[in-house]
Amino acid sequence: MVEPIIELQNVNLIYPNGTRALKNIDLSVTPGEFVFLVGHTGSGKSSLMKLIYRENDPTLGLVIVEGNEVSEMKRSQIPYLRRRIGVIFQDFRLLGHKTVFENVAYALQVTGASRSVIPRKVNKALTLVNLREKADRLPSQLSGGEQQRAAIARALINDPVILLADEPTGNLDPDSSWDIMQILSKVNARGTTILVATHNQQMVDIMQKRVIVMDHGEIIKDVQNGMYFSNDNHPHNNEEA
Amino acid sequence: MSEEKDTPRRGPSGGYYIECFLREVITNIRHNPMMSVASVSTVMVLALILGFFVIIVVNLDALATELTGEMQIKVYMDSNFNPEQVNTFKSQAYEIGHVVKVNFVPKDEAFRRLRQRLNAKLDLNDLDGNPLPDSFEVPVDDPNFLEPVAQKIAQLANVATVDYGREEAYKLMKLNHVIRLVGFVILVMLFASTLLIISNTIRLTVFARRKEIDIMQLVGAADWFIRWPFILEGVTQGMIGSALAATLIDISYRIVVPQLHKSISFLPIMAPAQIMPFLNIGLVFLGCAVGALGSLISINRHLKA
Repeated sequence: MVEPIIELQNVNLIYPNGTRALKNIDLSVTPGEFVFLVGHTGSGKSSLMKLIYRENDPTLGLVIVEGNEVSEMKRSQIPYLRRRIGVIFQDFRLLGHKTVFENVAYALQVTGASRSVIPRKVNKALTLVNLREKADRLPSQLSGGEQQRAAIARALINDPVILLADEPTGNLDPDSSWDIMQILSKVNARGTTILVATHNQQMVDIMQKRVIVMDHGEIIKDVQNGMYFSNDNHPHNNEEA
Repeated sequence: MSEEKDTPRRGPSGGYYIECFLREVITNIRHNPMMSVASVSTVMVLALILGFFVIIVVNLDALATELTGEMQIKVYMDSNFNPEQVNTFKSQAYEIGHVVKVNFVPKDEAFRRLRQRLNAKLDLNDLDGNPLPDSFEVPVDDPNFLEPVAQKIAQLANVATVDYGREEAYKLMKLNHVIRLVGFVILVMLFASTLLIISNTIRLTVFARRKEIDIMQLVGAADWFIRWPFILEGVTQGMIGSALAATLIDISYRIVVPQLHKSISFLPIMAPAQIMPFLNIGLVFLGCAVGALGSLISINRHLKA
């Protein structure tokens, strides 16, 4: 049996203000999987992702990434975890005063990559996301889709084993969203495990990947290779029914 | 990219990181000019206050030290003393210890000095002869020994009275101690408040760039990698601010001192060359230290939050 690359065992998360974000989560993701996390706003998708890259610690339970218990890691080990996990967000989170090239290179610099390696790897990553010709632009000079592609290039620069995408198409038009999904598929095909939190029903159905449905901090469904939304599984559809 | 597994996890030279950090510092200062101006001007104003205060304290201290150093014992001899006994008295006085010099003042010399001091304000010609006694001036190496040395001299043969300005000496020594103590306390307080203000100013910079720091952490930057550019930025700002202040103080002191020497020549004001090199280096060093420490405090607060 293949060892899971991400494993959550009976994970609970209660924020300091008392909000219960996650309830008894058990989840296992095998290496190379492509998983969609779907659910209403506030259902716990982002909270679950934050536990994986150690932005938050679980109140109870275990979060295991590549066989290591994340919440047990020392503070000094967290950067090394994050170099193994690429993360992209709805708001791109690029450094506004750095060019696309510099933004991507920065993630390499922090690892101490040599000067000769940086341009080669950055150009390769930018080619993968089809953004090489805009390498010297500032983020403000790019469209939303281009900014997200730059963010993906940055997330991939350290060859992460896992790519977490929190609403990556939330701010994008359908064409740009589709571009992003194509890139994520390409990355997944190279063996990177991908976890995407999204509201984009159409995309989830087209991609036909594993779909985990969350509601009020709980996993309520886990569908393999699902045409999830079109099969009347959408929580809204259930409510209406 | 998967075929490229050659990214080193450690090993680049310190020079590599220094270059990275310096580039970050220049970029950050260029992109946050107003915050940099705020930090630099804060350091400059505080260094100016600190610098001028140091000048005042050092000069007061020098004045008090000089005045105290001028204190000496005056030994008045009785009528049985004759000038042939001068050498005997001198050797006895030196034996007591802490005596720097024993200067004999014959009564004629004393009378001449009195006449000069009174400068014809009083007619001394009416006096029947010279009423002044022979005397000795005995400076000591440490004002603290004025009293014990004077007491021992008083017991020597043919000594009528000794006078060493006990009250004045005591007051001056006390003043000297007070100046040093108060100066030190105020300097420490000024340093602490400078540090607090600078760290709060830099905290604003850190707050303005919190998103940037979050992104750095997100891409796997270690705390030290995030911290160093901020520290270097603080050092740069502290250095510029304090260097500007030191320059201003230097110029002002060099202009003011000659004027003071002209108008109040009796006061021992320290020459610029005596004080300014040390003050300049000290201020710039302090500016760098305050900038570094202020940045460290601010960035640590954010990283641990």
